[in-house]
Amino acid sequence: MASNIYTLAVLIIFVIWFICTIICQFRGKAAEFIHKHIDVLKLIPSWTFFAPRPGKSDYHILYRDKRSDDAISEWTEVELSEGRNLLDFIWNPRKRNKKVLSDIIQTLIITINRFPKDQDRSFLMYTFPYIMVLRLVSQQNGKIADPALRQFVLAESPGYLEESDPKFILISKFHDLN
Amino acid sequence: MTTLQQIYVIIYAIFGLGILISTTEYLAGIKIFSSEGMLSCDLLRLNLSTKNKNNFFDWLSACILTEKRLKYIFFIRCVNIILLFIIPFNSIPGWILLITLGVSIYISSLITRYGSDGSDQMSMLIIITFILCLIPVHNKLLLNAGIWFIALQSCLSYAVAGISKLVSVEWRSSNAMRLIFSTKTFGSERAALFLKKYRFANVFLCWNVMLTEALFPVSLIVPLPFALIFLAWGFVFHLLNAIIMGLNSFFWAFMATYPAIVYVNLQIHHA
Repeated sequence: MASNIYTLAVLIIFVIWFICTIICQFRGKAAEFIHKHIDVLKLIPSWTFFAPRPGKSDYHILYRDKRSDDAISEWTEVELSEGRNLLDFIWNPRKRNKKVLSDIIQTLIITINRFPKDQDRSFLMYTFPYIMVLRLVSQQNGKIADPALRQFVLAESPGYLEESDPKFILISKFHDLN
Repeated sequence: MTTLQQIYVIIYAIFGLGILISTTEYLAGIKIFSSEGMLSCDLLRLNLSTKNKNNFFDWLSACILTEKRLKYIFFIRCVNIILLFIIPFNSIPGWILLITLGVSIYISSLITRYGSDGSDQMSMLIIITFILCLIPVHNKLLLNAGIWFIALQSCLSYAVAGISKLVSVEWRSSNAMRLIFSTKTFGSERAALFLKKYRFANVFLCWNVMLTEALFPVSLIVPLPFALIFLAWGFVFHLLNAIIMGLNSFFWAFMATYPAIVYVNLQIHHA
């Protein structure tokens, strides 16, 4: 008896999970409701790989330092592993770094695009992806003696073919390093 | 051992190998969780507790979110995966190991909200199905349901990926592959230059991916030899993605679902 109840419960879970997965592949109120109220454990997958907009940019983080006497350093790029090794198709520990950066910047772009271009964007400083980038940039070595402030830029470039110019996504304020 | 149980063993053989590779990748890149890393544990703790105003998440993040503890978790996960190659799932120790593996995969899915991909989602789905269906007092209906669930989710994933590409202008204009391959993140210079030189290769690859993905669920209902064409396509597709794009974990996570697709296909045709 208990075994039958358990089997029935699992079957119901599978049916609900599958239907919710289908609904959540589309944007809409139903998907929003499911994500907010049903998918509390965040188990509903999103299967739209590289679509509808394929990832066609490489992302870059650059930073520069400012001293208390207003001297400013050159821009320096945060080194992130790029390119590929022969054996990456078997074992590729570097892929997560690239994916994290790509996800963080895409989340920031989505947030930026939600608001009109002329709106003050200082609210971005309180978003988690911004704080993650700021934290990463703050850990980098100084490029000038006794830096007091640091500013960063997020940029995108088209990669190997260079069919378009690199673009700025976001230029931060100077943040206090102390 | 029944055929159904054998299917679970085959799925685990592929899934387990993939998850073992991915766990050793986490161990090699553990610095990502250090204070200098992109997924710094301090920040993750803050994010988990502010997003989920829940004591459980506070407790969980306080317990596990240090670089050292995550290292132990990933190491124990490796041992867990290897033990599951030896210990039968339908024993109590086997089922407990499945639960601990599931918990450990779930923890990493929580802390890698940024940086996780479709293979992580498929792995989560497979391990939960295993835990639910391989409970020591399981029955045939339960085992069957799990196989069907994995097969249907796998086919759904391809169909959704294909349809969302078909509605995209960049994919329909046959530029998407060249643009993706031209990035240093997911591409390859050689592949990008090849696609730049030969326009027909772009058209062929984009439409090949869009149509085959969208039609993939057909593999459940067509006679097996035709279904195997889809599966062979999937094998080559994921292998090339691993080689060109570095997406090695997709290969294992999705190949693990193929025995379920074959089983469901045979079941439909012998019903």
